Amino acid sequence: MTRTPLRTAPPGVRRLVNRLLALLVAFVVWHLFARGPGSSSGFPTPLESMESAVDLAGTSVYWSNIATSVETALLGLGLAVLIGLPIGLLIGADERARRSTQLILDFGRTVPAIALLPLFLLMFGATRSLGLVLIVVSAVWPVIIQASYAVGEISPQLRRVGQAYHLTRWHRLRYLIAPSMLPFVFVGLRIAATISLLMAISSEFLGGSDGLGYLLLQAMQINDTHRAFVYSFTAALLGLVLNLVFVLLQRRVLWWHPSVRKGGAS
Amino acid sequence: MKTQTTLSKGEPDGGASGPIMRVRGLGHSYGEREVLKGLDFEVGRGELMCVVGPSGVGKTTLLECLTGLRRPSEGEVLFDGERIEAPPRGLAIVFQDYSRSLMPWLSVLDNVVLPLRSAGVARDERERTAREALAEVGLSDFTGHYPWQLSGGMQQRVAIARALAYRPAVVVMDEPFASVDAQTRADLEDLLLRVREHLGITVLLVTHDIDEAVYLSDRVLALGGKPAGIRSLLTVDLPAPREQVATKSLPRFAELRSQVYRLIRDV
Repeated sequence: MTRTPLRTAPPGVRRLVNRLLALLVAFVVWHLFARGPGSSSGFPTPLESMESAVDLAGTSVYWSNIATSVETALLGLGLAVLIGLPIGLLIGADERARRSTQLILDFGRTVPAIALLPLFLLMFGATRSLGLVLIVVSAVWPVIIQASYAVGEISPQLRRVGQAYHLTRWHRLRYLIAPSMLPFVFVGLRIAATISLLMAISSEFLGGSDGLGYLLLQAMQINDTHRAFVYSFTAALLGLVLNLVFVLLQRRVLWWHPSVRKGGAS
Repeated sequence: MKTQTTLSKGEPDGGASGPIMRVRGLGHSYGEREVLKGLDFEVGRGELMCVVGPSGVGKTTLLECLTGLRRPSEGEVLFDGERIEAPPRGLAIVFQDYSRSLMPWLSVLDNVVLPLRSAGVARDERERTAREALAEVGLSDFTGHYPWQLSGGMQQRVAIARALAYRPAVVVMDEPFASVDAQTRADLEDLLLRVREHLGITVLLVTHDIDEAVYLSDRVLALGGKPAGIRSLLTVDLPAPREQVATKSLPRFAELRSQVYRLIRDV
């Protein structure tokens, strides 16, 4: 009986039902694990986790610490963009600069920022500055690299159009250069945003300043697995939301780009 | 027709006589490699001239020098009596690669309008001019579309409309129909002949296709040799109006095309 209406249901509904089913299966497996092998280490069942989540959602500590983490991440991202974008554009504008900075950029982006944490912890202590510095140091690289690529991606053909049709400086910047670079800069921004959130929470966890990471640290110290679980989930959800924001943003600003637009070829 | 008056009144010559473009002792080298040498010719007002030559002969270099996009290492190009240093205002260029010369983030209309905005043309006037130009190439119903929603041939028509709306005295085209299929190509060729007849503009078209050159031209400039020079500047005495089937089956058409063929192949 239940199968027939589902088959005739619109694809959107069918997809939703399928997703819910997958989620249900995951919950069942989780539940069985928590009751069985996980029970000795205090692994919470889905239901228990949900209870703790509801409890925590009623506290202001939970929300204010989330806000702190998000704020740190966004502030750090903003700083990384403010610093990285001009540097990237300058490097990209000059072939020699691009070649000579290659090594530094490769080095910079491969150094794990976490490895620098002890050093920064000594310098800044358990403060928000620590988080910001850590974010900038790790998120600035994708911004620089993508911005420097972006400059090289302005088609010579379009530059000639600008020249041949005597476009004003402002029109060239607004209608030719900026849109040409946007897809590349956007990728950098998206990577940097993910790093920022990750680094914000990591720095709170390892350094001990306020935020979601600190809550996680506290829960761990008193062996409160139920709450620790909720905090981890919260962090994951923040990541998902961030991703969603960027997908929507991309649709808005890059609607003409082959990766986004509907219909048409090449 | 009203279209004619608005679109063609931008001609800077104001009825002046004499050639619109004059090329004197033009030559160009890339470092040691000499590409063009000793070119002397003139393009008359209202003339349609095709520059034809095999691939790699230096047609694009010549076009760049003629339009002011590149500074020639020797000689000079005069546009309406003035030496060209940068692309002159009375000249519009249609590039080969339409997909890269149109802006995907601007609608068809905005692509055509943008140069006029930069030139400071008032909003009403630039919109009207752009719409007329788009009507001229048969794209009145697609002004709100984006280039990538159109076929290759239609995109190239947008590029042509952009050139026409700029109200140039001369339109320079670089292999404009090289990237479209044969049928579209024939359609675009005829469109070009119609528009040129209607607006009385001068057209300088670079192509490697001998048939196309002979079919379109008043005169064909055959380029050949290394460094490339003018092999011949021959007048195409085919009757107007040209027609894809009838014109191309004339014995004279066959004569001319084999003449051009021999000119650019034989060394």
